Amino acid sequence: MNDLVERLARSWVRLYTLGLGPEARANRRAEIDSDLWEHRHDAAATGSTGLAAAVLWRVLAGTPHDVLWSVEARGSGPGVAIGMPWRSQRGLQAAIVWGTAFFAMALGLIDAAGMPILAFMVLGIGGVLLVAGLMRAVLGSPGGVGP
Amino acid sequence: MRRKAGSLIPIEVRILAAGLAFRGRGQPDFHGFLVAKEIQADSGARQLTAHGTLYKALDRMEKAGLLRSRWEDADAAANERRPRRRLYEVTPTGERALADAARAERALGAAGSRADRAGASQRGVLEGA
Repeated sequence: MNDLVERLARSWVRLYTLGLGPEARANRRAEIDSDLWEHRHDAAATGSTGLAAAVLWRVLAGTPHDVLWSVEARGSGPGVAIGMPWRSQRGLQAAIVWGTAFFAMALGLIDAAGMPILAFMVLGIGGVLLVAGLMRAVLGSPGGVGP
Repeated sequence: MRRKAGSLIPIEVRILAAGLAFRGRGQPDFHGFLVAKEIQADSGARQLTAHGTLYKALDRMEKAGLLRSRWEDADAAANERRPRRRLYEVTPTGERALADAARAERALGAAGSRADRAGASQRGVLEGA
């Protein structure tokens, strides 16, 4: 389970650093890699349990700040400019709304009901929606240039 | 909500305070996970600070000159078979900003106490009347 959550964390970082300048992208990815290693090592050293849930919480609770940081970094850094046709914008908005809703449900399930398997299923659906929407937004859609 | 220029938000105060606590213990620099652990221990929070919240704050604080960072030597990390750490250090500007924030908080607390005393005295006058 720990490996799965760490993969999710790394995938999320790869996603929101897409299109950033090489330095900002490499720095953030390396910093999260280091944090994940330290967290795992610390949990092993202190014998603390629930590492997967703790890492998952840290990833999910930080997503709004990650998105904001990514938007700011695109504005200030030498990143790749990404044009966004109107259909892609709608895809992005829908994906963020549904993805966030599923993430919130997953968080609630982990926190309140202690149902990690169900929570991970819900999280998976949310993640797929979010990734699909972001991919559509980043790559654009055929003929999607709107009025 | 926009914040006043030069003022610190709570996560920045906690990071600076943790950084100075490390320095007081003879450790001049710290990495992200370490500061998250320190903040958790200090605040008694159930969870560590979220990745996005922590690293966005560290990035912003470095740009504001409150912190400076460097990547540790690759050999040091390789010897311990772990990824390289990005090490942060509180700058003199960061120290001053934290001292200013503490002064502002004390002033606010003193103003609050004066207001409480004035309110109590007024209530006393009204009750006595």
